[in-house]
Amino acid sequence: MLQNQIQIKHKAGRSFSSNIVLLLVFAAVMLIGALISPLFFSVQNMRNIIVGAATFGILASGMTVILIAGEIDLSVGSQVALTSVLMATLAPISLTLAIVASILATVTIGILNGVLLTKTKMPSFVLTLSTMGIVRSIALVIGNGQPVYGVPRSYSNLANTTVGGIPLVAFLLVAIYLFTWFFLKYTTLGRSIYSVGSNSEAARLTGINIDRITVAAYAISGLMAGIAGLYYTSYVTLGLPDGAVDYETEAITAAIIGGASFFGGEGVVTNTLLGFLIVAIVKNILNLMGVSPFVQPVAIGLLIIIAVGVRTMRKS
Amino acid sequence: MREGKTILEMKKITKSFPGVRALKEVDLALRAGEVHCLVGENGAGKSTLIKIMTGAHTMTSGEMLVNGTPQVLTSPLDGRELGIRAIYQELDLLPTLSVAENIFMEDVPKTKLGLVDWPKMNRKAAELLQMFHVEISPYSLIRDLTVAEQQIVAIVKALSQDSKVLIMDEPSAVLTGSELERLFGIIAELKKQGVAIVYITHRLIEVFEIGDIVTVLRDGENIVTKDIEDVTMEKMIQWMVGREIDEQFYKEKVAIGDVVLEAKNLSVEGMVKEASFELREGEILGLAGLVGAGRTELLKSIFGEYRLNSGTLTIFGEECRFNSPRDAIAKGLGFVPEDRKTEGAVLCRSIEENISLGVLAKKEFKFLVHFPTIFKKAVELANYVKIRCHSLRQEVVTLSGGNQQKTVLAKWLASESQILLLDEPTRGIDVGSKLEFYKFMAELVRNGKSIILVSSELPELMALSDRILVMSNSRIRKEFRAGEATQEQILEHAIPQELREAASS
Repeated sequence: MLQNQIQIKHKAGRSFSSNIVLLLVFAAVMLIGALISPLFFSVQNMRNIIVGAATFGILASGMTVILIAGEIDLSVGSQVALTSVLMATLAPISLTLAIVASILATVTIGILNGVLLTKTKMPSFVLTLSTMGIVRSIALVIGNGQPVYGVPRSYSNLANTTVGGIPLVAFLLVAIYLFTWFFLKYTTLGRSIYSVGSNSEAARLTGINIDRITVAAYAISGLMAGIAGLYYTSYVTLGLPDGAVDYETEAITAAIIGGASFFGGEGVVTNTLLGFLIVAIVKNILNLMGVSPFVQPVAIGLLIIIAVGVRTMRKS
Repeated sequence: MREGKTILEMKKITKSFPGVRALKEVDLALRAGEVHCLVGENGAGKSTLIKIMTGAHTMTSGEMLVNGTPQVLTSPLDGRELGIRAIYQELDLLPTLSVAENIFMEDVPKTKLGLVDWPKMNRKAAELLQMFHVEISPYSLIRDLTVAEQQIVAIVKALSQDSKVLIMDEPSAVLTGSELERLFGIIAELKKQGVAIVYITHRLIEVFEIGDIVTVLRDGENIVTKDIEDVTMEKMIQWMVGREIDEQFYKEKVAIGDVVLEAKNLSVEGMVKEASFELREGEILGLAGLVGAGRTELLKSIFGEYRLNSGTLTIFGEECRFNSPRDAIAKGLGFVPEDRKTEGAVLCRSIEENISLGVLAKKEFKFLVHFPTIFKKAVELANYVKIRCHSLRQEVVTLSGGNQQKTVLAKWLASESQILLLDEPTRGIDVGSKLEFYKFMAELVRNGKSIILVSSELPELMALSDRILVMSNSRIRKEFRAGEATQEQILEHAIPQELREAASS
């Protein structure tokens, strides 16, 4: 019994240590921020970080679910753009209608992604690369390639609203990450997503309907893209058919820095939250330093190589 | 012995695959609290039989009764419903998830609200592991465990689900001494609980250690089913290999030339111990031994896949130290691996590309490759080895096993290998293609090439080889010349000493 307990502690120590590494990186990034600029720790800057990055932060939680399922979803950035166009177009008629239609649209796209994937068995990278273009095109056609005005003032103010000094979207982020964490950890569907991503053949032999699980994962990704789009519309105050470009890459970046694996079956959404914060803060620091936006992707690229490289090297 | 209630009964089970009859009217009965050992050579039909038991394969004809009622299983899920479970060597575990979650994969403990009850799951998993005296934490990830530990988790998982029939497919292939002892303890416990156990093994000595009944399969037929008291090791081996050596083999008399390869005290840590032998031009040298005796490892260490710890390898009179297979290929060696699907051929590419691979690897320092020349050679070779196909542009995956094997061989001929290392080249190939393959081997040695042949099919090995080296426990134990030894004599040297002593005591 005693021996067993010792072993349990030892093993728990392992995953704990990789969390520690992530926390250390986070602390290091914060420290660098503080050293670089006195403005970094100001309330206003902290708000800016959250308000500016929240869209891909929301996407990252959905992307974690998809990566755990062993797939990828490149269409989420386009879905955000489509949502903003739908919101701006429909909100003058009815805000409720606009919100319902947007979420319905993105969840439907997610389900379509999942169904096409499981029926054709094509690689999800290729499939969602195609739907990324298609959805973007739909957004451009609806918006006629132009920004769409029509988002009510009351709605666009939401992005800047604070409660007790904390931006509203921070609460939204916490709620979304709590929801995703709970869903993945405690529901049967959540665990099935892990199983399918870990070894789909074993999952199938257990009686799990792997096609249905994959579709469900894409529906969740669509839902998250819709919510991210709702926030994005408020943040940019209009419908941008050519907006939210590369957001899927940023979502993937946050998730993999947080430890999600491209091979599926692995990933913890709370770590994705840390990954998201690290990416958001690094971008903020670069802005504070006045680094050209043309050069900023270099820093993000290096960050991925270091974060993931260290992890894969440790594993092998 | 035979007092247990019959749980599962198989009557006249026949299974045909396209072109092959894997099982012919096999009868088998499993009783509660009995360990039923299933032995036979590779390809005798053991795995087909257990796959029919679990529902992974459907039988072509015959009847299966579970507790006296006829059942038709169409998937492993059906088998599981009836309490029939198998623990395969390729484990169906979830590598990135915890031990506890894997154990309860099929029946996750839930709270009243229908949510996953983690504390309960971990507690129950710890209890189960403790019950079997296993020191594995329920929190560990499967991929962090050793293969043996994974096997134990798979066993615990199968046991947690209230199995009536438990099939173990060669568990001793991955478990070592003390782990195996523990497994035998678990099996004894299960017998008391009235579980019917099917135990498949190549280590025949285990049959006497834990078996109650043994069934010998050969060529898809049930040769004999007997109580263990009425069986001796010698008889069992006879039943296993029983078939006569007849014209199913092909061998030509070829003049044996000079020594082309000489190994002196080759050692690779944990795999090969002090192997010394020589190979001559035009010779087929057979390597006999049980699975795990070190035959494949010996081939791979000659081929530069494993680095030698000590010993010397002289090829065409020149001492060689290979750092990688590339060096070995450059010296004229070719290796046809046991698993042609993953190591031998690039299945998703065409025949001509596969044949040309070896040439490409050799030409790598030439800047440009002239494909028409290479492919022309590929066409010649494909005709030469008689690959049956519509077109050489056909993907290798579409070929039959025998033709895939010929493609792999043609690759080495294209790169002008002089010494060919063949590891179980005829495994899973139907009889007709085998004969063609033998004739082809004869032609190769007639043309001055030399072959080292590993085969678990003793009749084949005896018919083709000019000399046979017998290996066990990583060592070469004995050398026989062609026609000098009987199967029984070879097997006697192939079974490790300590096992033989245990058997006779």
